[in-house]
Amino acid sequence: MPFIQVENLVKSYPRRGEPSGADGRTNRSAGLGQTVLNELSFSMESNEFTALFGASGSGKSTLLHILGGLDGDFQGRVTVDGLELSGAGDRELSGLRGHTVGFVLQSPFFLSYLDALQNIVRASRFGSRPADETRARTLLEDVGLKDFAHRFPDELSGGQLQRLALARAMASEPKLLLLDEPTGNLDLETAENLVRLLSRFHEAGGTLLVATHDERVARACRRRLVLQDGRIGEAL
Amino acid sequence: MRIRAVSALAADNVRQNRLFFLAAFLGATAGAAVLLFFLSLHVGVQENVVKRFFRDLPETRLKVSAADLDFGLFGLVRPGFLKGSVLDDDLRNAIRERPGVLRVYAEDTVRFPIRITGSLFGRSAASDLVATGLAPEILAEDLQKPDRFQVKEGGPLPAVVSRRLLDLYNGAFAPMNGFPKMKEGSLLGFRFDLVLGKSYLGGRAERGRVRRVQCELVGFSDKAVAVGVTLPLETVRAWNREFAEESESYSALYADLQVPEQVSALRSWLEAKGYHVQTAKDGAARQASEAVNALTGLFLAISVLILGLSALNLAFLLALMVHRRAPEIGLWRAMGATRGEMAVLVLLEAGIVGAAGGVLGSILGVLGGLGLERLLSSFAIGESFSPEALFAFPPWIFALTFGLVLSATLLGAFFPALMAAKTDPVQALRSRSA
Repeated sequence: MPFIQVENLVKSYPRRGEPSGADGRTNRSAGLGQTVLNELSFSMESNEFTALFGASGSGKSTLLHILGGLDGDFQGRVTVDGLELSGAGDRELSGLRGHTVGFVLQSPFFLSYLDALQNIVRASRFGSRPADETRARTLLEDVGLKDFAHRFPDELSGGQLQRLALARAMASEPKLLLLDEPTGNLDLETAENLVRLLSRFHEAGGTLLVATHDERVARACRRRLVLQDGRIGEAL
Repeated sequence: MRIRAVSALAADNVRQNRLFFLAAFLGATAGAAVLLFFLSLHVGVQENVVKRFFRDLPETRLKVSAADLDFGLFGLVRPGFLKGSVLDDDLRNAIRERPGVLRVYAEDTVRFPIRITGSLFGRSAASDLVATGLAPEILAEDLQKPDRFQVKEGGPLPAVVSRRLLDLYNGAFAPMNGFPKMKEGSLLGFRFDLVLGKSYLGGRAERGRVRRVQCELVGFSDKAVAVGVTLPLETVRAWNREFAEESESYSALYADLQVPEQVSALRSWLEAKGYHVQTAKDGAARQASEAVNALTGLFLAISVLILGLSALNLAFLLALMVHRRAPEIGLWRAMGATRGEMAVLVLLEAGIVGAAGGVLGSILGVLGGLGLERLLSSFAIGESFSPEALFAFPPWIFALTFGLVLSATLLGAFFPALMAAKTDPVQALRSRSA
């Protein structure tokens, strides 16, 4: 069975002022409003390094959120690491996020009152493998932030923050990394450093799905998917 | 539920947002302080004032006296008037045979003119007196040295007085006469004379030989007559035989039962025979207690209102904080936290504030009580009326205060906790990324 299996995924957002569902409450995927993902199907094997292209607003982030168990309001069948997300409850989805999936967002959020080291330690508390300070230091060293362990987020550059986000995402030793425009705000050198880190994760057996516009990232990927009109296709 | 992780996070959050939580903390502290203050006042007044000065019979005891004949508006009362209402040894034995009765003891009143004379701080004093007699074995249980309430050949007659008498002395008599206040211990051994058969109001007794009898105060007992002197029963009985006409009956009988539930049956039995029966339910203490309850209940209601307002305040603060911290909640959710854990996180934060406020408020409540006692100490009107007795701090009021404050804060945190649980992590993180 593929590591990620998506079949006929439909995701809609209500338009402003429009009822969100037939019951007037939360069912935003019921076909009302703007359909972002439309009968989307694809699969990914374990240890794939895949780039996900698509125009802004094409639904890349939405797909990542669904695959990561952050958004459970959709139609269709989505399976990640053997867990059927469409029927999963909060506990199962939280377990997926804490055990299987790591997120890196374009503008990652950090706790401003904690230094880099503690941002990793504290955030991993809800993961299946909470990181102690020793392991957090190793992770910082892995992403080249060994000397920045006690710097606070506002003392770090955009590239350093992205690397910190990657270290944090890897703290619970996830099988799957979902990255949303990780190099969007980075200069060339910093972006290449980050790509190298992602490649190392991949070489260590990890699975990656990276939503990106960045050709440098795409070059490191073995597979490219394109999201267009709510559907997905292989890019050449 | 990873309670350890959530607890650590809650502690972090409170520490980091301490200024934000300060208002809620102050509210909880004020609520706890006021609540504990009034609770301790309520308990203190009940325990140390009402029960002491409005002493009722114990729940398992009843007092039998001769039935009164009340002439309504005229208020004329004549004890022992009705046939069959005599309190004698036959009745005493009959009561003893009733189910559940452990013991029956008699009290007799001196029924002839008697007065007390003595020297107090170098000044002579004399007064008419009410005196009663009680069996030594009954009073013995209240005395530090029980054997001293025994008649000894050639020695002074042992006497026992009520603590209320001491309070009256300290509260009224001593200040009016410029005498120092006295404590129980310093009065033991105090000697005075009784003049038998003669008093200022009653004149001279028609029978008996007027004479002086020296007495010695050997202890204090709540069984002693409220304002007067209590002496050994047989001595009083002998005096009554000498000075009064009727001498076979007692003025009152007391019956102790095994359990309070047996009291009503015995009461019915005695009342059917025409006796007047008094139990714990009839006493002044109950009425005073109800009055105190009404007053302190009002103050307690104010305390609970303060707690309610503090809970409301906390609810607003936490709701605002949950809204402000949405990205953080989104992060924890993205890292694997469940909705339930986010709700518990907010409840724990409120719990920390409530617990800290409860502890500090309790301390302030105690300090407030002790401070007020100190302030009032200059107005003390007697040892037993001493303000130290106004507040009582049994462990349960701390538990109750802490529990109520914690419950109020948790109640206030309920809806913010629901908000946290319902925070959409995608929206929260997206708003941060936007």
